[in-house]
Formats: sequence, C-alpha cells, structure tokens
Amino acid sequence: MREGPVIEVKNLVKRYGELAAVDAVSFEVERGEIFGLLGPNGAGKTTTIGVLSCLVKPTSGSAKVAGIDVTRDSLGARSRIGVVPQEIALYPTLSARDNMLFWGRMYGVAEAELAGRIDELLEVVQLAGRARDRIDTFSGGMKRRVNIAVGLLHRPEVLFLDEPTVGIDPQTRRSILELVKDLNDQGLTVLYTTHYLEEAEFLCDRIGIMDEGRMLAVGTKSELTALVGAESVITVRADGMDASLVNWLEPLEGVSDAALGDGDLTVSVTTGSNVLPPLVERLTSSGTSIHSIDVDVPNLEGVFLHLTGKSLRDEADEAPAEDPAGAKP
Amino acid sequence: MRKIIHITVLYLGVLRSDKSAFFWLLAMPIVFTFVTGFVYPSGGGRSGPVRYALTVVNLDEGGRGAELLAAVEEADEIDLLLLEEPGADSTAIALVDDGDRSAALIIPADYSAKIGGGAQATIKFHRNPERMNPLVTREAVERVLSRLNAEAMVVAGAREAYAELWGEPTEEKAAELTGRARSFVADAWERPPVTVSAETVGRTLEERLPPGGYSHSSPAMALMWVLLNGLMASSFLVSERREKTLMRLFTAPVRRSEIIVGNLAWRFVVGLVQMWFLIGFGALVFGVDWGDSPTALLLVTVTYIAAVAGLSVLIGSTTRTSRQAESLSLILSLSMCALGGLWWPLEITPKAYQTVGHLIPTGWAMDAMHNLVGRGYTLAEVAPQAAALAGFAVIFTVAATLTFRHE
Ligand SMILES: Nc1ncnc2c1ncn2[C@@H]1O[C@H](COP(=O)(O)OP(=O)(O)O)[C@@H](O)[C@H]1O
Ligand SMILES: [Mg+2]
Repeated sequence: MREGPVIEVKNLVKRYGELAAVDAVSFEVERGEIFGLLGPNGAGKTTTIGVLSCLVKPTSGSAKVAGIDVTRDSLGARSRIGVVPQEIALYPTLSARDNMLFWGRMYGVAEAELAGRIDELLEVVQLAGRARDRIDTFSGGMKRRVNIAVGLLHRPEVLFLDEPTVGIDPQTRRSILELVKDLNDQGLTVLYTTHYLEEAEFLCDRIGIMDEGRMLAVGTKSELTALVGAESVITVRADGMDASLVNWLEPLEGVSDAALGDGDLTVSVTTGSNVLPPLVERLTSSGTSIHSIDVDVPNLEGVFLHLTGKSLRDEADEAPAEDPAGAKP
Repeated sequence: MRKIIHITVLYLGVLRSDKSAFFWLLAMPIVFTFVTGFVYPSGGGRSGPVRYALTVVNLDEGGRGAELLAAVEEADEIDLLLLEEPGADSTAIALVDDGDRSAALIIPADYSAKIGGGAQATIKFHRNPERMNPLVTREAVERVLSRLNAEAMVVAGAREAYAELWGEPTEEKAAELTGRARSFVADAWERPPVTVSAETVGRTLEERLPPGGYSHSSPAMALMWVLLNGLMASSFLVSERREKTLMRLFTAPVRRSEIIVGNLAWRFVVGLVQMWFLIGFGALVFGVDWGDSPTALLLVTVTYIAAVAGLSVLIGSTTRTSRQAESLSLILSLSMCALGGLWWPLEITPKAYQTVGHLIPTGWAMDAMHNLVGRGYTLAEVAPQAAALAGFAVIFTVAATLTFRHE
C-alpha cells in the first residue's frame, strides 16, 4: 500500500451561484482512522463527500483519494472509494446476493473472486442466512447493513458514510455504529459525516467541524476541546453564599474565574484540577444548604458554541434517543 | 462493454422479479391483436388470390350448358352462384339491375340443341355498369368460351376433312375423331402460337390499399405495445434516481456513457424480444404473412425500437416523479398510436393528418409494416422509412444523453 494520507483536500471550493457550499476547505484523512465531518444541515458535508466521490465538480482547489486527483482520474479515484449513500441504494426486488453481484461487477471485482467476497461480507454484516432473500423482505437495519456491505465489495481504501443514521430507530443506529467501529478495528479507513455530536465523539479519531461551508477546526476531541480553553465550569446553586466565597476561591490553584450571581455561583477551573472537594467542604461547614452542583466538562458542543456562537443541538432536527457510547458492550 | 451487458442483465432480472411484466409485455398485446383483428375490414394485401362471384342461371335442356359452367368454375378466380328456382333468369337480371349482384350469366334453353345442330348459340352476360367485377368475370367466361369454340371448330374441321378423303365416318370413327381433336386443342391451348405479355408498371391499386384484418392489427398492436411498454419503462430511470442507485452507479468506476448505453440497451433488448415474439405469434396463430424480406423487417423493428428506447430514457431524464413519467408516457404513446395510423390506417385519413403522422416515429413504422406485410416490399423499398426511424432514434438518444443526470 502507498504511503501518505488516504484523503487530501486542499482549499476546496464549490459554489452554486453566489452560495459557497464548500468554502476553502482543507483536511487530510490518515490510513486506518475514522475521520468525522461534524456540522449542522447545510454545512457543506454532503457537497464535500460529493466532490470526493466524483459526483460534484469542484469550483477550485484539489481533492485527492489514495493520491489520485478526483478531477484528473475520476475512474481511478472511484475504484478506490466505497460510497454508502444515506438512502438504501439497492434494487428492492432482487436478492441481497444478486444486488451484491451487480454492484461487485460495477466496481470491477474480478468474477472469480466475487462470489467468495460476497459470502465473506454477508458474514461480516451477519446476513449470510438471508443471501437469497429479496431486499424488500428485509428490516430497515438489515437493508442498511447490506447497503454498507455493497460499499466494501471492492476492498476500497476508504469508506464514505454520509449521515448513515439520520431518521432511523435507535437499535438500527446502534448496530450501524458498532459495525463501523468493527470495520475500522479491522483496518478500514472511514470518512463519516454527521450532525450528531455524540456520534462524532463516540466514533471518530479526528473530527473536522464545519459550518456554512467552512472548516472551522480539525483535530482529535482533546485537541478541539483545548481550543475552548480546556476549562470546566462548576455551577453551584445554594442559599446563603456571599462574596467571601469568591475571595476564598480566586487565589486557589486551577481557578481562573469565580462569580456570584443571584443564588448561584459559577467557577471556571482547569479541567482535572481538584477544586470541587474543598469547595463542597467549605460550603457544608459554613452551614449553607446546597440545592445542586453542576460540573460542565468541555465537549464538542462547547467547542461548536465557541467557534460559531450557536448551538449545534438547536440545529439538529432531533437529538439521538440514547447515548451511543452506551452501545458498546 | 461488459458493464453495459451487466446493466442489461440486471434489468432483465428486475423485470423477471416483476410478475406483471409478462402480462403487459406479452399477454395484453396478444389480446389486443386478437380483438382488433376483427374490427379492421380486410382490405388489400396479399391474402391469397381474390375471387369474384358470378351469378349464373342454366336453362339449357341438354348437357352442354353444364359443361360450360364446369369449365368456368375451373377458372381460379370465379365463384359461381347458381340460381335454380323457376323464373331464375328474370330474378337474376333484377338482382343485377338493383346492384345486389354485379353480373349474371344466362344460358338459354336451346343452347345444346343449337350447338348440336350446327347453329350459332348465344349466351347472355348481364352486367351492372357501376361494378368492376364483371370486367374480370366476363373475361373468364370468354376465355373458357374461346377454348370451347376452338374445340368445336377443330372437331368440325376434322370431320369435314375426313369425309372428303374417306367418306362419312362410322360412329366409332367419329367418336375417335372428336376425342383426338379435343386433346389436340387441350395441348395447343397450353402453348398458344401467340401470347400477350402483360406487365403492370408500378403498384396496382389493390397493392396500394392498406392491409386489413390481422395484417393490420398484428403489426399495429406490436408497434403500439412496444411503444407503450417502452415509454412506460421511463419510470424505472426516475426511481433509480429517487432510490439513489443511479447516484451510487455514478460513484462506481463506470463511465457515464456506459450507464447511458446500459439504460438504452436493456430497453432495446426487451423491446426487440417483445416485438419478435409478437411477430412470431402473429405469423403462427393469426396467419400474418410478414413479407418476403426478414432483413427488411429486422431493420424496421430495430430502428423503431431504438427510437422508442431513446425516447424512454429521454422521458426518464426530464421528468421528476414516476407519476409524471408514466402520465407523459401514456399521453405520448396513445397520441402517437392515433396519429401514426396504428388504430386506423393513415391511408384513409386526410392529407394534413398524414403529414402529422410522419412527424413522429409511429407513422413511419406503420408505413413500413404495411409495405412489408401487405405489399411484400423489399429491403430497398422500406429503406426510407427505416432511415426516418433511425433519424428519430438519433435525435432522441442525443437528447437523452444531454439531459441524463443522477439527481
Ligand atoms: N445542487 C445544489 N445546488 C444548489 N445549492 C446546493 C446544491 N447542493 C447543495 N447546495 C447548498 O449547499 C449548501 C451545503 O449543502 P450540503 O453539502 O448538502 O450540506 P450538508 O450535507 O452539510 O447538510 C446548502 O446551503 C445547500 O442548500
Ligand atoms: Mg448532507
């Protein structure tokens, strides 16, 4: 296998008239990682993947897949990528196997190798027993697994998944996230787009945050959270707190700011510092009755808020019904 | 090329998985051919030799009248309608005058007697002046009569010569003379000393009439259903865009041209199989004679189906929903059937109608079919229609290629 990043995007621009759907975006995806494009609807994620899968002609900039410029050698680039559309892009009246035979041939898989490869992948997506059943007899989750398997037939160097969990039930969503994680454990490079923070956090090694066509930041989760100052915020609601509390807090190690409001106290602290135990002890010993203590550890939501001044959650049509991190056995 | 074949095979599989496909592609056209075959009057065309009816009344008291009628009936083109009731001669004349019969032949009571006595016998041929048939039937009667006359003359001549040389023949000799004279005439009649060689320049009126019955309905319904099913298949392209399988195909290492040709190819193959199934069925079950040139028939069907396939992909590329594609296909195919002369022959429509019919492929295809089925034209003679159809195929395919898209 060749050295270097699997995907290299440099200064990519795609304009639709006045609108820059993708505006000078740059990022690289290394072999073996799951790279996430995180951003609200209209951020330009699909357009970016569209350029990389040769569906969208870029206005300027360059995009390379496995070292191949997508605008120069589109066929060469396409033979090295696996694309999983958000929709079930399969022929519903044909069997899973017949679908995979067709797509394998379209991807140029050698005829001698094809049958074995199909069996292997059906095993991976746990549908070996249903190979000869028509797609339209499958449950939603099974269809999605075949949909992903089709993208893997030709052993692509990278798999593109564009918001594969939008509008599906929690159980199916969990099985897809697990499948992607398993495939990645076996060495598959993945480019994954989502507007769900939790998915990006759970799945991705590195994340690019996009909004309004621009790439605002790229990095691992901790690199990104470091951007917002890497501070946690402790909020205490209690009766009878006074200014002496603030005076006591401010010189403490790890405390960058403390402020007393109307019945609540906010303390900004360096993440990992040990301010909370002495604070609680002082409050209880002074006889204050505590209503609640919140510790806000920095997360991608905070990062997004910091970068764009708006909340990603408000943009998301509906937050996922369960914490995907809990999906891991 | 391999990927084009795979796309074609894929769609044959998709069609096979659709149980109604067989019904629409093969069963319905046959039902329509069968039903409409009754409706179209049998017109011109080559449905065997045409026969003409001749009303005859035989009043002859001897046997010669019946001999004459037997000889006339032997002529291929004549069907005799014998009137035998009393007063049949005046009935026959009245029928002809009223236009119910085109002509009547009346053999008088003394016909045999006069011939036997050496006198001149006369038969009466009564015709309606407004009908064409008597020209043919009278010609047939006269042809028979001239042979009988020749026979009588040769017999008389032989007897006279014998009598002058050897005296009056005995009964036995006379019979032998008559027999020899007759076989002499029969032989000579086959090889007459002088013949007229008649050639028709151009096509006869009969050949220019559109064929009727199954000779019209079988090709017309085949053209209609290949068109209807072919255009309806445009919705497959719309659903390929909706289901994003087309988008996925564009992300696979397949050329745009291969995808377009694949889409044309499977429609073409299905149309060709359907058309030739219906041609075969028409020949075997409805007894349709598809003409003398299978190559010409192949050329016409291939160019027609290529045009249909191109139009189908064009409709699929330019409509947004399956409903739109299907309604447009239905409207287009039905109006093209009506305007192209599939439901009633263009030959019977006004000039302007015929002009419109030739702005669309169906008019040309139906012309070509009439020329092949009804008139037995050759490859060269249907080349203009095939060229027009090929032109439509090129126009539709170019337009389909320009508008083809995956979203
Ligand atoms: N074909 C197109 N024509 C015009 N505008 C488009 C087209 N595709 C996308 N856009 C616009 O580009 C922007 C980015 O869209 P998209 O890449 O789909 O975002 P995302 O996938 O992040 O939701 C949006 O404002 C969208 O309306
Ligand atoms: Mg999108």
